Amino acid sequence: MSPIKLLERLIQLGFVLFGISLIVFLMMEATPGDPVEIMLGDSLASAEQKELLRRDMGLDRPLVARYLHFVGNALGGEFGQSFFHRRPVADLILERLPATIELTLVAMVVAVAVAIPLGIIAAVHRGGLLDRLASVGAMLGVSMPGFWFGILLIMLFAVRLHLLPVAGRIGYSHEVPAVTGLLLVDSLIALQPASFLAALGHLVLPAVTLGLAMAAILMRVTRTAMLEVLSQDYMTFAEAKGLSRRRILVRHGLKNALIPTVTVAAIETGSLLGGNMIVETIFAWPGLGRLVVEAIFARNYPVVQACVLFYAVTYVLLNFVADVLYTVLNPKVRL
Amino acid sequence: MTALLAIEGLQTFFATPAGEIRAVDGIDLEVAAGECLGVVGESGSGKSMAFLSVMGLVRRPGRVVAGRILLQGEDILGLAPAARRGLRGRVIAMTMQDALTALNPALTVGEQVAETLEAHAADLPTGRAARRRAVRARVVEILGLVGLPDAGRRLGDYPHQFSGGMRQRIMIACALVCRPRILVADEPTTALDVTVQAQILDLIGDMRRELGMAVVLISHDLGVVAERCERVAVFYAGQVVETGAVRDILDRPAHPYTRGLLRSIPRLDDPGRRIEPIPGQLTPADARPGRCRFLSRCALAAPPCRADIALADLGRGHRVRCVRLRP
Amino acid sequence: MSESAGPLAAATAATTPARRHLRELGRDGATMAAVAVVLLFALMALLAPWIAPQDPYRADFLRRLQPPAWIEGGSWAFPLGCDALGRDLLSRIVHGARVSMLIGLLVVVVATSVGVLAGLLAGYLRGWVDVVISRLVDILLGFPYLIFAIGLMAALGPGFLNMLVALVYKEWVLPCRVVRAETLAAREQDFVEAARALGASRRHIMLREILPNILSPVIVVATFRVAYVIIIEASLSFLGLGVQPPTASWGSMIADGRQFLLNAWWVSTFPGLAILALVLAINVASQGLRDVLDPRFAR
Repeated sequence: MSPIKLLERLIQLGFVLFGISLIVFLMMEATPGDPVEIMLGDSLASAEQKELLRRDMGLDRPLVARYLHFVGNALGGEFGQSFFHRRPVADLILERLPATIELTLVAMVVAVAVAIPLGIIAAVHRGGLLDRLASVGAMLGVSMPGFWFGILLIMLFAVRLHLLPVAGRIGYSHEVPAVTGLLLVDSLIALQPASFLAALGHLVLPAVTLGLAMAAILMRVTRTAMLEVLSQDYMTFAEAKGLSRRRILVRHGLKNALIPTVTVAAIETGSLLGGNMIVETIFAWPGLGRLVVEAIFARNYPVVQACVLFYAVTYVLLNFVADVLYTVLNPKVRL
Repeated sequence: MTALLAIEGLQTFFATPAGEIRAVDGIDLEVAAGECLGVVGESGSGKSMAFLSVMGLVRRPGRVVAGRILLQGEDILGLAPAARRGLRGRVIAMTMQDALTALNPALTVGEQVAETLEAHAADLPTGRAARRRAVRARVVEILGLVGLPDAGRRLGDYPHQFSGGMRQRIMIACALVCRPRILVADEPTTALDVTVQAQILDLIGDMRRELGMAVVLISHDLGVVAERCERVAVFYAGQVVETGAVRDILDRPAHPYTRGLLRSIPRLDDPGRRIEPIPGQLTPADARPGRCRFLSRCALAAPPCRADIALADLGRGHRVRCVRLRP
Repeated sequence: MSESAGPLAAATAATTPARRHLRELGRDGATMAAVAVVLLFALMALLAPWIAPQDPYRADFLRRLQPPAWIEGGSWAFPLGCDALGRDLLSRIVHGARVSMLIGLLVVVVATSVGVLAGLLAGYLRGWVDVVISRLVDILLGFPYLIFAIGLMAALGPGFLNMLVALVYKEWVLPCRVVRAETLAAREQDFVEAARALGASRRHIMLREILPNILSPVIVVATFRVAYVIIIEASLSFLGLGVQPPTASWGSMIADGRQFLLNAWWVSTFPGLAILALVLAINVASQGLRDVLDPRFAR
């Protein structure tokens, strides 16, 4: 990407982030109910005390001032106090974040590991049995409501077959010293293979549920990209050079087919964020998604606000990464 | 003397929902070591497909259905795919029409020239470092030979960083790095600016002398072929309609189509002559057996043309597929 | 090889384009089956009060978690069994089709209308109108779909109408982008130039000249989006943010069954099957429609 192009993209990025913060702020301004009342709940606070709290929270100031205050705080990682936990919202998010990251990463890896080889095979054997099966599978994958798929998996593998755990990140019997917060990594660091397996077992169903739609989309993109590449002259020329079929597919085909695929993978990883509220709710996964859902029902608006903002910003940044990746991978665009 | 490449009765058909298309329908051709054969015909005449069949690069739904292809006396149609692959790029090489699309945009030119070598080289040193050095040396050598300035420093560049003419040279280097016995150059100048066309044709001629290889020059331009080749084969609707020495074809064209081609070339030595295009166009429907393929466009069409026409020998290797014209 | 298609093209050229599209669709068995399924669901939603075997809201604790008819303890009066309150599952699924179809269609129709208008204005007028609309589109695209809907639902509170509003807020963006791009391309074409030269008003050019010519991709996008919106609706209802009980919605029915996975698998399974069948049918039908209307993507 040329510096000017990059600068343009960065300015656009800044603008979008500004817009997002404004929308999130207004969303929460529009929520019904007085935050002070909600926060104090049933406690018998006097009108005076309530007024004090209101001023404390800056609720008496004009809208624009409150917005600027909100953005200023957000930039400093300060999202106010949770109404109920009586703790800084930022702490809550940080505490829940590793679980979500771990789930999202594993789901992404599962999706990529299934979708890319399948897409390539489908394209190479276009019109064959495997291609048709994969197409049907992809269609099912995008049409499947994720939450229902998760429930089916639970019924089959956990309730009926007792193969995998129903909920949670790891059994209660495991105590893994926290280093990264990712249990798979931490259990390896602590040299606890049993804990590693337990964590892995807990991850299987949620990760498969979360990754299904992404795998379906990615498979289609890979197939299309590969079909496009297979019809290119350079593939015929590579064959005319006497290269082996394997080498032609991997070196000449894959490298080009992966350019759109990687871009879509980055974007879809962002979309996984949207799905993890559902999946975390189903599998009682102690991550950010479940925090949002809990917070909504508890009318714990500072937490909702911070989480929505966090999700949107992450999503936008991942899209930005996808853009940059596309240009980095594509020597024709890179100048 | 056995020919370096001999094609006998080659048929390549395409199965389509609308029926079978006879892209190549009974080709007989020979290429002697070191000679330059010109192959002329309009698009759809089967000239490229015939040599893609020789290379073993016909894609589905196309299929070589009959014939023999003798390369150095051996029928390569019966070879296992791996053995066939071992010949491509080593004994018989091919360049494509447009280097812009034939070169992979995501690989450096160094990698693309080197991989032909790496696919075949039996004579490279075994040690990894020594092997890399040897490959690099030969890649730089061939790139220098095809006229890429400063080749040693540009190995890491990508195709889009070169001009059209330079890309064409790089593609030729890819084909020639293993020093094949025969090069099939498919429309090597169509994608290029007029000013560069002659340079590339000169380069192919130089390389032919330098490496002592035979060249099959496929072109829709009879003028180019007449100027560069010793012998010509004129293709029409999947068949060779006339073949012979360039002089014979130019002086005594025996097929109405060849005559039409000659009349449609502008000539510097006779500027007052009118250019007459051949009326009509070639369609897949013309490739039907049981009649002369040129029937629908021929001014001399007559009842005897409604039969399969055999190649008739006019002497000195000049052969023609027409029953109406005999010089 | 276009010549070989000659007779075929000649034979079909005689009929109108619409007729030809229909015939092409008809030739594709999967598409036809999918269309039939969609129509079946539409009919089910329309006629729900008359065809549902039971009252979907009548609770009967004696029938609590009664299994489907073919299982020991079931009865054909309640073919798919009953939920935790003893309500007939089949009747609730039939009624649930109303919510899904209504939300899916309403959201997409409203959002597409808004999006088409915004896209036409942005693409044809350019200038500051385009800047404002495009920036807004960029910002809204910055939210993952479900997050945006959840945030807005949290602010507006649950309920049918609020869900409609929340989904439209985000959904208009896609048709807007498509229409803007197509309009940008169309405004440079001869027929628009000609209309301009003849002194046609902007309104006339946008609605009468450009719109009819870019309608195909819009319709294709819209049909696909119905399927997506139905899944989003079900997700929101599953989380308890959508349609409120006792109204039957497939998403909330699945949520109801979560506690009974061990002893009453049917409560969650059948509503999910309904969603899958409807969404799958819409997707397959949309794909068939796309291949006919917008052959650029056909493979």
